[in-house]
Amino acid sequence: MTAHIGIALALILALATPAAAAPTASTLLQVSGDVPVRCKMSPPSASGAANATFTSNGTGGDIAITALVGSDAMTLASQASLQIPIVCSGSHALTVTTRGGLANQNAATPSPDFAVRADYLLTARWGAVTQSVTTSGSAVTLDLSQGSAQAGDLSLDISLPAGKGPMTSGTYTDEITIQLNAQ
Amino acid sequence: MNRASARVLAIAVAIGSGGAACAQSVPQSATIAVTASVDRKCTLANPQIDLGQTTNIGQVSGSTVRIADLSDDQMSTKVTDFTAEVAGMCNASHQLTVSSDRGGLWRDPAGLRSNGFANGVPYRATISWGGEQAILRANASGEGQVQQTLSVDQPVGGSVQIQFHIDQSATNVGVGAPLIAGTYDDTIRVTMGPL
Repeated sequence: MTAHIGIALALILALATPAAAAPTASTLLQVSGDVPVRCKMSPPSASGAANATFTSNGTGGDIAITALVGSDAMTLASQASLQIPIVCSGSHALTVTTRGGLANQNAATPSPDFAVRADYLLTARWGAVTQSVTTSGSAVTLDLSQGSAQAGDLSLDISLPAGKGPMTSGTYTDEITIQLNAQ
Repeated sequence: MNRASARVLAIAVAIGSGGAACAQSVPQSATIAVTASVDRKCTLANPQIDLGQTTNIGQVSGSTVRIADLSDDQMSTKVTDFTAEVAGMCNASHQLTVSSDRGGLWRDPAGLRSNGFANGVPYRATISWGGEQAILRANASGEGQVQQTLSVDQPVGGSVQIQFHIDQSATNVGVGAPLIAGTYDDTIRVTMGPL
């Protein structure tokens, strides 16, 4: 009688025992982070100049043409090349805008026989994109935007031709603006 | 947490004399032997992030940790730290393996490169368990799995501690290289099993 009870108990326990669990355990941890598009532009430096000098002021600089005209008041050739380091980690908008040429700041009543603006050829290169314009009095924007990351130098070439004029006396100025925005 | 399985292997009953002796007046005795065994097994819970001691950590959701901003204004990698605790136990000698699926935080899609930019961020994970310590180095030297293993010759219950760290300016193409924009990720797997 006792032996029979013992056997029955063993069978019940065996049936109640769950299937053996897998001995190995695992879990995971996922780590992720984003890098937003950012752009950085460093101050320009001159890579070449003829009849002109460049002075950096930290954020931009000044191109001073040594002699805009010769003894006959006709323009002399001058040229300046600038390098502007830029890094953008993604798509970005980059534009170079000129006001439209070197304009005389002193000629209140310009003479029809004399010019009051010295036009120049502006060429901008960024990556594989090159844009250029010859100024003609109106503001012009060169678009060098790119849809991907880019690092390198934006190159600007400003070239004034010889033999234009005669030029009215006075101070001639223009301003070239470089605008960079991450997109 | 752990439910040890016990299986009765045998119950043996021995009676001092035959059943026919029940009616006799001499003392009777019976011996019952009971034996059982416990399987070797290990358990691990989901990771818990210690939110009190983090650097540059954004949202934490379940087992997913979002780095707040992987790069700074100069496009360099930012220092990042957090600690994950994984509760677990092994009731026998065992082996703990911590692995990185990609061998670093890599930008998606995999393999995208651009000249002058980094697309991978190295990190290290310091693993502590059962008095042992090891460092998983996901150096982002090439995309692929890397792993670190700890062998422990005794049962251990507690928490696996994983200290995650990214160095300032660390990238796959050299210190200080700008990171290309995008989403970077990796999966760290923790596996524990008896030896």
